[in-house]
Amino acid sequence: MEEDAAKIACGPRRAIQRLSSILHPRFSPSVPLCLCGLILFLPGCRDRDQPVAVWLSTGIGPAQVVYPRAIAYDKARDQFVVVDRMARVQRIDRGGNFIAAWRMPEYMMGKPVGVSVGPDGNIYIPDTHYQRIMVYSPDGQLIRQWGKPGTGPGEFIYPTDVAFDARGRVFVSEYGDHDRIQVFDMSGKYLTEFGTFGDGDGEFSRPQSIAIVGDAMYLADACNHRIGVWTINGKFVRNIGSVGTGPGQFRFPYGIDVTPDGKLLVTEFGNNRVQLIDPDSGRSVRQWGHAGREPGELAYPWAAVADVRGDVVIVDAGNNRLQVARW
Amino acid sequence: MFFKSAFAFSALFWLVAGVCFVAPLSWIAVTLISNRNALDELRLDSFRVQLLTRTIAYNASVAVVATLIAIPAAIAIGRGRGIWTKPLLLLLPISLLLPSIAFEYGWKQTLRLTGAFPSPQSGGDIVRCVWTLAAWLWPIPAAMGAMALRRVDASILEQASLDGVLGRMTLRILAKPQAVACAIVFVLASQEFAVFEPSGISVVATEVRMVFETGAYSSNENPITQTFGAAGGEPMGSRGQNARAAAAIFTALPLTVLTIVIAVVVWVAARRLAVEGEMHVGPRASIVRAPAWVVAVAYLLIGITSVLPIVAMVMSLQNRVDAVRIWKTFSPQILGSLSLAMMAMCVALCLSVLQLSRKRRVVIVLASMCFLVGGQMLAIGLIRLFNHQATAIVYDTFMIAVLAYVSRFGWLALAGAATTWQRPWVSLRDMAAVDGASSGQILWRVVLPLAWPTLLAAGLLVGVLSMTEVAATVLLSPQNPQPLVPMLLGWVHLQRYDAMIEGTLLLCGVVVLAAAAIVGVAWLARRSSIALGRKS
Repeated sequence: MEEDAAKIACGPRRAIQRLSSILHPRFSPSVPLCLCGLILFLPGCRDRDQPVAVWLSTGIGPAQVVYPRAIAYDKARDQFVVVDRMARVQRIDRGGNFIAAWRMPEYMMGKPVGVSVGPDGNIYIPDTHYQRIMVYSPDGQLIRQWGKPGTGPGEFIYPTDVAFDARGRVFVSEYGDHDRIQVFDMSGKYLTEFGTFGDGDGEFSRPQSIAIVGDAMYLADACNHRIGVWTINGKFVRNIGSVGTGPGQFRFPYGIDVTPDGKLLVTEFGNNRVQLIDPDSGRSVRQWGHAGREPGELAYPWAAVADVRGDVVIVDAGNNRLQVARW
Repeated sequence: MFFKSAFAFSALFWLVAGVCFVAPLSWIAVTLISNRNALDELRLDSFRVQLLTRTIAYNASVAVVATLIAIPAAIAIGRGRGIWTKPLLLLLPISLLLPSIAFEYGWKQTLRLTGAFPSPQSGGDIVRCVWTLAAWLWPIPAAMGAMALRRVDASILEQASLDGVLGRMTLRILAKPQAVACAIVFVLASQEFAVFEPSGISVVATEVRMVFETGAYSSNENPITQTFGAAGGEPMGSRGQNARAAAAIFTALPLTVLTIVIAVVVWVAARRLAVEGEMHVGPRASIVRAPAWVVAVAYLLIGITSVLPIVAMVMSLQNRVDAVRIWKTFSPQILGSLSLAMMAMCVALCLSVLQLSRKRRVVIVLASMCFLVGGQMLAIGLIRLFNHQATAIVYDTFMIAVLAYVSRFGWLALAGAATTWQRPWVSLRDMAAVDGASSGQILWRVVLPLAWPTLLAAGLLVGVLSMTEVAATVLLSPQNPQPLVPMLLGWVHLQRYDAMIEGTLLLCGVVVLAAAAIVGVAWLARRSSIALGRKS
């Protein structure tokens, strides 16, 4: 029996025994303390997905970020554009090297949470807390802007993301008492709008990010914990997923993008992971990341984009960095 | 055998106390002494003078408002009014136990519903912030005033009533404790950034966080961030975490010095008050009881400060309440908060049990200093101490958060244990020793069986405060397991937002349940204390 016990007493159990022997046997609070500790510590020992690269570090210098929240891929230049909580916009190359940076004109009331590169090569930033869309040239010159606070046509509460269809129309998602998608032409002229707040079909709650492929628009319905599928004409098609931590389930999906092979890349703020979703079946094809600080772990990720090679660049907001995953 | 146990206990106590209290304070001291570059942060240019002046003005306003609104509750509880007083005693601490974020968002929703929301950073917005903090912290002056009034000899109040000066006498009695409480509120308010930050209002607490995270002040007027203007502008200097941490410590230094000076004054005043207050409390005549309107005002104030923001949040909900969905949405984070709080409670309990064997005043002083320097400074100190390859097991696991919470609130557990070194406990220990009990027997067989409710109540309080602590939690983020507070802080804005409301209400619910447990255990503690008093 002794021998069997010795065999069993490996790993965590041995650790508990050793800890218990160090502490006084009547010191009962030590037992729950050790158990709690081990229960919480052991999940941290699981295998991690390893990134192929980690870009940027903490700070306000070049190639540094503070809580980055949005990323866009500039296909023509093979570059990335990142926006952080210092209201800074940085362009970086494929190696994560700094190219250029500028700051939003106003930022004390809040910072942008989205960024997109338009078909014209310009950078479109929903200036979330200043209720406007800012359009910058790639070198950071402000070209135009539109929008003002309000709930009428062309007005915004909290614009979150911008996407473009093949006809050059600009789709802007917004939340905050008046969740909807507004459609503009490239000059910022209001065309139409669709969607409303709610948790039913054809409704959404905090549309944090949108992606358009052909005639389909995918919407990260963050607070309903699902992905909404719409046509670009504003017709609701279906929802994908439900709240939870399992494959195909979501908790606060903040980011959505489409990979070159047509899969949905969903970034979950609440589950600290990125999921690859088959848009037809709604099934999870792959998951990457879990909570933590080490490479391969994520903290409050906001967004992810796939480049032309299929590499996925993940905005690891809480860790002040970008991680590059390959699958 | 006992010698070995005592040695092991003592070593364990000093190990935990050393890591939690001595190490972060030492790191701060060494940083202040050794970091010459960070001394630049002490330059009292106009920007820094304005920052400090603004911080003192706002937080002093918070202290004054909290003290003023506390007077009716202090009188109602202190002079009593039969059955109407006891519920006040239970309701009063609720707001203090809830997270500051709940008040920040609750008051924003209240103002949004009334259509009177001031524009961010305006004068009205500053008044909103001041009121939010005052409505959160006012139970402190209320409780201190009430205690002072309850200690006053009933005959003095009766005589004052006969002379027609009961009101003036009450205010005179309240003056000193209210002044002390005012200072305490100032200190606590100055450590809080969750109320000012979402509006972009710059105070020392918000800037300490920004300096630690970025190396620069957040303000528009800041000469450092001003250079980061146009595209291709001059690149910013890159600073390592150590330099940023030092700069953050120096940013907080003037306010920390002021805090410590205030704390010393408060400590001296509180000791005097305690000496003055040792009077026999006899039965009170009905003429000295608090007037009905004062009791009504006290209830009204509790309703306004604690209930109204919660009601406003509930009224702002757009979705129907679905408990299962809310649990599924927030279960990982709320379980993370609970796990960390429970572990902090366990460590605090261990500390307090170990403190029973020997009165270690110096540790209580160190623990109190840790509380006074604030959650941000402690978190920065612990991050710098453990953010190394060799100590990754602390930094990358739950341990760093537990250490921070015990550093911040461990003084409560130690103070709870320290009460067993006062009368009538000393007499009890002496009697047991005369009967031939060893030190170990006195501890395990005499003191612990009677003192456990006090220790448990203090431990639970440490757990509850850990769950709602914002400053240390946010700076230590990301953590594993993840707590709820950092997630909520990112959602504090003006508009109604169901996720924020549901998460906040869930956290408040858990805290209220834990508070109910504290009340139950505290009731047990009081019973055993009364029984002990009778025996001795």
